[in-house]
Amino acid sequence: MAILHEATKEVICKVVYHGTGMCGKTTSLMYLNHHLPPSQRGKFISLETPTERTLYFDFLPVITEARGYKFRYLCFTTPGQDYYEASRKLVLKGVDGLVYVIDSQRERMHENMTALSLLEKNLNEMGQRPDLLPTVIQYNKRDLPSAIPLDEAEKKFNSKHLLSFPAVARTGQGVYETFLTIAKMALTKLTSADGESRMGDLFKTTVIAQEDATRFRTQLAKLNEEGGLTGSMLVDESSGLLSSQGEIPAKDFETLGALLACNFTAAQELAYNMSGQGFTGIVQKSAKRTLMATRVDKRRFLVCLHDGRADPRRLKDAVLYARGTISAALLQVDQMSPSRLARFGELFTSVSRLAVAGMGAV
Amino acid sequence: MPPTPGGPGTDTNVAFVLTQTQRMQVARALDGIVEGLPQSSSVLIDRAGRIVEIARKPFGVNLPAISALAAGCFATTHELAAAMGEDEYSLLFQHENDQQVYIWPVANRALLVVLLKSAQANLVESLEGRLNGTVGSDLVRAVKEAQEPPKTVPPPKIAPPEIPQELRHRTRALTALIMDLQTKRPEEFTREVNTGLLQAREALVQALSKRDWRKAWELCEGTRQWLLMQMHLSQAQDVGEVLIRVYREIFGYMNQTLRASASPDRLRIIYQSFFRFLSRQFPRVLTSDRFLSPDGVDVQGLWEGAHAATHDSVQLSTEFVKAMDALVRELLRVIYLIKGNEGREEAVKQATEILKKYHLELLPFGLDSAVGRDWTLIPSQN
Repeated sequence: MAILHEATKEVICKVVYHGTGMCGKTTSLMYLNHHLPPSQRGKFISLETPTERTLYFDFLPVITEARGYKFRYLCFTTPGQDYYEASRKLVLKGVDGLVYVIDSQRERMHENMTALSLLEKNLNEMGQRPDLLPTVIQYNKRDLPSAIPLDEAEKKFNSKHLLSFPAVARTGQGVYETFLTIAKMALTKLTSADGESRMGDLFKTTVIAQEDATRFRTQLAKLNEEGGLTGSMLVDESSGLLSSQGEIPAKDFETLGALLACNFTAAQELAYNMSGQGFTGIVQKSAKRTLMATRVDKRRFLVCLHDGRADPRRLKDAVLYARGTISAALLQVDQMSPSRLARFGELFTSVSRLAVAGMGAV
Repeated sequence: MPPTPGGPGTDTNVAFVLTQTQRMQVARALDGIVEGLPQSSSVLIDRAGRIVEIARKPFGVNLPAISALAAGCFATTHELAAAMGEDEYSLLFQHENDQQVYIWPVANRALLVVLLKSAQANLVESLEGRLNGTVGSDLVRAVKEAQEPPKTVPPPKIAPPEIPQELRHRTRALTALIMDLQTKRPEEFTREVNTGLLQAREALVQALSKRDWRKAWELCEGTRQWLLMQMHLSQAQDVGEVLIRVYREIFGYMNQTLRASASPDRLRIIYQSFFRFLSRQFPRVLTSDRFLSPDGVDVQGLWEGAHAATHDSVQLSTEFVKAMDALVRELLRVIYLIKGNEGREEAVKQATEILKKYHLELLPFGLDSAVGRDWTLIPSQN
């Protein structure tokens, strides 16, 4: 689900690399991280695990500019191992562009097929039609002797005639071209009013106008004041930070937003798995700070930060009030977004090439 | 029996291995943590989300899913803490139906997940008391002393081959050409064209993997020509052909503008001074002043003169573009002196229009954004 900030001229798209375990998703992102100039990428995050495999996701923001707009592609990988199925589908929430990575080795065909059918199942469960999502295929490990012929791979995995690319992620061949193509397709999707209107609710674009940005900041400032908070944030569970106010102890807001979004969705899923119900909040405590998250609507949540000295009753009242007012403001944003998006149709058509061509050559 | 991750294509790495004694210590500690807490259970999982030990297995919940989610949640929390300059967070989820989940890091190697089903207000405090007491320290000790198993799956390695620079330049140019055409002529990318491109890419990947640079070069060139033919576009064989046409037209327009206001003698002086000034910067391109005359700039002569020394069009093209653009800049400066800012702006506009006309021809050589890049740097006050 893309987010378009009119005031700051920023467009945020979510790109997900999906595929079976050890097919080269992480390696593809690592290649981009190593070869894009620092100005065009954010911090690469691979969640710390003792096993060297993707636990929940890997994350790399890729940034480019065109015609005064800043385009941020938040690239995620899904965990490939079957064991992590529960967390895999969380990463797919609100995806704008999908790279389906296939391990070309003959002995991995069954796993590739299973991953593909699981992908369709997961998208369907989230109310999204897989055929509407911009998708490209990356046939990885083409250099290995056991790689199946390309036409055989096409017959097996590309019945929909999607754009597909042979690649060797380890050496980077085909990786950049695949990324550029999906980045362009994700952006072009925004211009397709028909495509956008048929997206599932979790996948629709949010357009935040100048007046909305001001309203959110005012509402968060009021929450901070009345709840005794040091800072607060409004976060979208697919693409990160929508607004923030007060003292946020982090420099990289992009990464912070993505981490908060993934943290929250995992916690929510955990709650559903345990009790079949939602939760009132997550509390995270450290020696210096307490971080509290609570849901605002079905796609967004509020994050409150305080130093542990906030009066619980006062905080509870302030959060309850803020949830109501912010939720109403978000409802208005959701209603206005389709018509606002139409204004950008021409712009995105013209910048879709520039936005990707502006990236450093890899 | 805890589920065992694995199966074909998955790794079986685990974070640590407990001895029988350590396992019993862990089991005792987990029991102690939830002792006396109604309908509660505690699970120790490693940081990769695999269940190590359970006390009072909860009924009707998908434990492997919960473990994987808890580990994912905690891993993001760990990163969040780092992003916010904290050491570590402990986690507590509050449920609407009086359920609570408490996640606590154990010796930086494992997570303790406690499920509490009660609305008692002091439950979390009581739990924290146990975790900070003897039971908690027994658990930490057992986990800390557990051995680390050997790794079976190495982390992915990035090892890009040393592709010759010219070839790299050519493959990038081909990618840019394909993407540009896809944007401008999407209807011409039929299934046949896409299949052809896929096969060409595959052959290129194979050639690059085998370090067969000559074949890769031929494939790039062949694919470019094939694609341009599919799109019914001009197929210039050499970058020089395109550059000559582009700059001939630009200089033609500029010379015409100047001739309307300056005598041939004056123009000769102007061009000679340009040559003296620029040939020092671009000695390989501006080889003789006979190519600059009141009749204009002999672009073909300049290209052929420079090419005779190198015989490498791709390598020469970058320097040639810089030299020609420097010349354009100087001519624009003269136009400004004669016709003022409006005249200069009009000349830039006309030159840009000419460039646009040749965009698709420059694209296959990766020069679409290189030509004319510095024209706008001309200070209008000069």
